[in-house]
Amino acid sequence: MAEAALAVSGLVRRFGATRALSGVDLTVPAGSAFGLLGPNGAGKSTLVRIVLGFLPADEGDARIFGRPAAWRTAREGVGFLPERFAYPGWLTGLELLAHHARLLGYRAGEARREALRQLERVGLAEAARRRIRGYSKGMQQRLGIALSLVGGPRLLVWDEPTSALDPLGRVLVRDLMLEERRRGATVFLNSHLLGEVERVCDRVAVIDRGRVLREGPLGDLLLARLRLVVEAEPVGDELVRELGRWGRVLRAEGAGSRRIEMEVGEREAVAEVARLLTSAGARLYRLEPRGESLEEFFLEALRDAAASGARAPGEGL
Amino acid sequence: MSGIARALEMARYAVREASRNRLTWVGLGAGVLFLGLYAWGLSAALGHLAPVGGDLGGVGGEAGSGGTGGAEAASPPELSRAMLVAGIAPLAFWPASLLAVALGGVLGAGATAGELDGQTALATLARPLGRGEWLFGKALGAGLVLTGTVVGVSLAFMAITWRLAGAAPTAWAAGSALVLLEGWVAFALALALGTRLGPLVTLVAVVLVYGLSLIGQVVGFFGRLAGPGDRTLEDVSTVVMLLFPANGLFARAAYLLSGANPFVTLAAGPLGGGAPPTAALTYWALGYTAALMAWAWRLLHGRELG
Repeated sequence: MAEAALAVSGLVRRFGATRALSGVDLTVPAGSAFGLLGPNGAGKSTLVRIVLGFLPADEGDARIFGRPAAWRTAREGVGFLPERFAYPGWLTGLELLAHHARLLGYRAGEARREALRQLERVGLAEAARRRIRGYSKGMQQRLGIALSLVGGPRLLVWDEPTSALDPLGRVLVRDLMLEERRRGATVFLNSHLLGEVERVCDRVAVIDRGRVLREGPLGDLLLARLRLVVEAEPVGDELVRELGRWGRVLRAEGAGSRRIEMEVGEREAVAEVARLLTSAGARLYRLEPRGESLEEFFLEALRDAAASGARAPGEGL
Repeated sequence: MSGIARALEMARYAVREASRNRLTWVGLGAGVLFLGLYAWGLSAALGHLAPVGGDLGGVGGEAGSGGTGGAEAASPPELSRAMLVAGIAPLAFWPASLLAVALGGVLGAGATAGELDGQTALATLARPLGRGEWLFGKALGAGLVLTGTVVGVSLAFMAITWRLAGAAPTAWAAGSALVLLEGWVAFALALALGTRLGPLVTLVAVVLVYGLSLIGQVVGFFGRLAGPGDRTLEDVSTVVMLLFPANGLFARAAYLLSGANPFVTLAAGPLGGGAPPTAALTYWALGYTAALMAWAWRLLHGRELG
């Protein structure tokens, strides 16, 4: 099994009477792009704070590349973009990045070159010598992304990396993420933008009320509830009932010429449905398997949790 | 990269931070203003002295000797000048003391509270940098700026005195060191409070504590005037001085600058404190500053970030 870039187990953290994390178990394989999803107050930021050593856990263990997260050395090779990014306005972008490079052991000249290289990657080369207080919000977020990339980290922890960016900036972040993955870096992405996560992440976890509700490879999770849209003719009620052997029929519209929507548990069912219809003499006009969108998957996970006694989706802590 | 190298990089950052802080420049401007006023005042006083002339007493020194032992050899105007310097120096040095405390508070609060409260420290502390290294580096850098400023103002003060009066204030170096220590006490307090409070609250707290210590000094002055029969006021002053040994250090500096003449110190009024604090206060202040630094580290270590 690949080395875990990040592994937390049994993580518990309380703030007074509130349990922000209630026994979180999570593994982020090295080299993956991992999306952490959850509503406001789910415990995502608390998890990130513990992982970066900003906050101690009450119980459990958090490790970065095998080292306890509270250790200083665990943060070697970690690049962090905070959600509420704030940088000293009295520095220039170049000075800030060069300072971080020097903290990582670069010599003065190398540090400046590394700083400029990262600023160029996020499109801030021209503003490199301007004071940060003169940067727009979007420029500051780009600066934060460049800062997190200094030194070629093995693990990138990005908390809402596109919250202040325009569509062009979002594309840039996606491209950077892909570049970093090609380089072998692990990306841990905390984002509310489900479309963004769906595009770039290969693994996700849904967290709510401090518990992990779902976790796994994105493709598997979305295909776990495969929907099938069928249009065929003629399809009698008896044949509709027979289709029910291969999944749950959600809707069957029309008579004779039918549009049927069903949920199937596995891909194999698609072929079986096609075989059943054609062997019964029906002409098949449409057979469309559809995975859930990440949004549907996310809401479904929250609804399931609410139904099992957690809380209704959208309810904050 | 070693912990020392990381701390030194943080110190470099802190020097740059302090040098770009507008309040540092306001402090420096106030220092220049104080020196200008002092030069003007001393020059005017010396101008008045010249026509009067005469021997004004037994305290004085040879031009440039910096001591008090040359009274027999000095001519009457020289003695008068030395006497004037001994009388004025403690009073004139008080703005330098105020500057040291104010700058100490501003730099200390900026070094910790400014960065922690504004969350600009998060990206740095997410690096493989210990909190102790971060704090030590910032204290070192900001402390260097404080030290450089106070030493610079003291040197300029001495140079102006020498140039105009032809005599350096007695025990100038020791007096300057005490004022510098006073600034470091305020700096360490601001640094420690700033690990938990916002910058403005930290500054207000330092000003309040300094104000209390000043009131303690004034109380002690009146206690001394009241005579030896009732030591209550002086005891209150001593307790306040121990609780925050800032103004007490200035009182000792004033005593030394006056040529260790308790009458001149008393004449300096409440600011001088009236009573010459002992050398033990210096050691107490050094230990106090070190204890505040250790407290700052402890508070920062226990602080939850983000």
